[in-house]
Amino acid sequence: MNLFATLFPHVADRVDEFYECMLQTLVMVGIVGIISFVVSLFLAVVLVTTAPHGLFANRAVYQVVDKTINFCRSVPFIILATTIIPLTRWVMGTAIGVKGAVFPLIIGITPFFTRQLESALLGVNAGLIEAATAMGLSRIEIVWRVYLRESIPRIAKVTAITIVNLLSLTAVIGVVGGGGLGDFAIRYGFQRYWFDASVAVVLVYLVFIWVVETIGKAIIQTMSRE
Amino acid sequence: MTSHDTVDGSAAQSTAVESDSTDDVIIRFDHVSKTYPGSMHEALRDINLKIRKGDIYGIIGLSGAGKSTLVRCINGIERVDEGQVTVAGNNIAQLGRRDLRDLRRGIGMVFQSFNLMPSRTVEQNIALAWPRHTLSREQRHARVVELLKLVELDDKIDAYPADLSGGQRQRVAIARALANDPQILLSDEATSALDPLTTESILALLGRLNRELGITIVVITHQMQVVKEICNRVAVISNGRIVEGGDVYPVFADPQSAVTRSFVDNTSNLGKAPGLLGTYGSRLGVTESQTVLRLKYVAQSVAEPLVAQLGRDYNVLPNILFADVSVVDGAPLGGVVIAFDAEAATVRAIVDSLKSRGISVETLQTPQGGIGRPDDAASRRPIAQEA
Repeated sequence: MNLFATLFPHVADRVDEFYECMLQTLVMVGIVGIISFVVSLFLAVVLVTTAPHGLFANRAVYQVVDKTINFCRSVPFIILATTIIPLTRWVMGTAIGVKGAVFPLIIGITPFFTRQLESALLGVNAGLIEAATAMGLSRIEIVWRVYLRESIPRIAKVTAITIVNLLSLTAVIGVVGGGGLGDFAIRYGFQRYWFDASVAVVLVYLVFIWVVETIGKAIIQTMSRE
Repeated sequence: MTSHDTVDGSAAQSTAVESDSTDDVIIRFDHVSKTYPGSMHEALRDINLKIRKGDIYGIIGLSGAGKSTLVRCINGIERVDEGQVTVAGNNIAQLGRRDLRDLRRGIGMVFQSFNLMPSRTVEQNIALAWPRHTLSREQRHARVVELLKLVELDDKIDAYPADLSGGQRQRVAIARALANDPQILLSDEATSALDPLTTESILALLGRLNRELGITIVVITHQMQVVKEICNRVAVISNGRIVEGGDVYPVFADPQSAVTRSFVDNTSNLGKAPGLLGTYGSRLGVTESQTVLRLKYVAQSVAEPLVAQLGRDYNVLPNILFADVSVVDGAPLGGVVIAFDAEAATVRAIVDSLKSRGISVETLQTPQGGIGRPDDAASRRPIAQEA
């Protein structure tokens, strides 16, 4: 603890706040990650199955989802987050703190996550879909038992990539009052020139990312049979 | 129209004959045409086909001929634009989604690329064909073991597809295709990705399943060898059209269309004889003074010592350049290419005698110039030395 106090004096002074910020970041990543995973997976399945020659080929649905995602992805996150503040207030009741950060984070990460998951699902060989169709499986069964099941290793991979991206978005949201480690680094490291605060945040992020990638790799290794 | 309304007796009779003959027809194409959206040419053009119960029906064609489209019309993966496909009495186009799925469970399908689910074990792959919760875990396991025994692979039940060889993967795919006791098995280039030895064993397996289970098999292939090996009937497809079809033996013995002839020629040395003769004639010991004949045997005549008889009866010394005999649909088919020196009159007598025995004779070379004229190679040699 002495070494910590020597190396990171300003962090040691407000270690409770530091932990609080770490926890906020984890909560944001956790909530946003889970909600966005469900929404993105649904949208990715919609994209893959409504695309031309898909199981539920439907030009109108595909175009709407596809173009909406492209539109959202083309807006830089910090601009998106600040632009939708009125909407955030209306949906969440506040635009600051963890509560105010969750909504823009979901809007910000979901298009990216959807594209990642779409490419994961497109990795399923068309021959497998044809074989399942020939076997008499229904289209819903094919979605669950072929598209999703056969994509698990690729889904784990793109999810790890997306969570790393999400971690950096949680830092950005800190700038506009979102709380978390980004907020800590901006307030103490950037605005007060306390270099040790910035370094401490960087180290915590490194650990977070290492954990995410390790879990991702473990899932890929146990699930992959190819 | 009911029978007592019929004034014309012959029409009634022909209708009756038609219905009798369709009793054992399990797959039927009537004037089927299909064009893919955005494509310039028709994938299938006016296809008429009758496949009987218990047939091993070969559909052979070059890639892009339309054979894969054709087979996918049988299980409704492809929809037809015109005409009608009838499978086990069902008009495919009129089936709703649910009925179509039920029909598909009765039609197994195997593919060139096996299409096994990589994340599932052999057992799970086979069990995928069964609707959920219809069998208990024990029943399921017992049935999988039974199916794997049928394809001679019961020691691999817990393996993943990636751990299996190509032939083993195809056996699993066949077991999966048989999981719902289908009446029909569709094989889409199932042996095209396999080596010759494995191909033989998979074809033998298909033949055995046909005999033991009475299952009707439709074999899509670009290899005449496959048709030769197991099919009893064949349709040759080219540019979306069936150009020739029927029992395998007559098609092989006497091909009518150019496409069929090229397929048949490619399967034996006899077909390649003219080309080889032109290139390697002198090395094979053929001189310009000799007559070269290609004889094609059918059925019973294969057993006779033909060439030896020619030597004895006409006092010639036939040189056998190529010979090939294979068994097609249970009957031998083959021929020889022979070269010999003889007077024109003797040659004529030999040809007539062979033809009278039902052997098809083709003259590949007639004697040119007199005996003793130096052959091409000899006359060219000095020039080569000068250069």
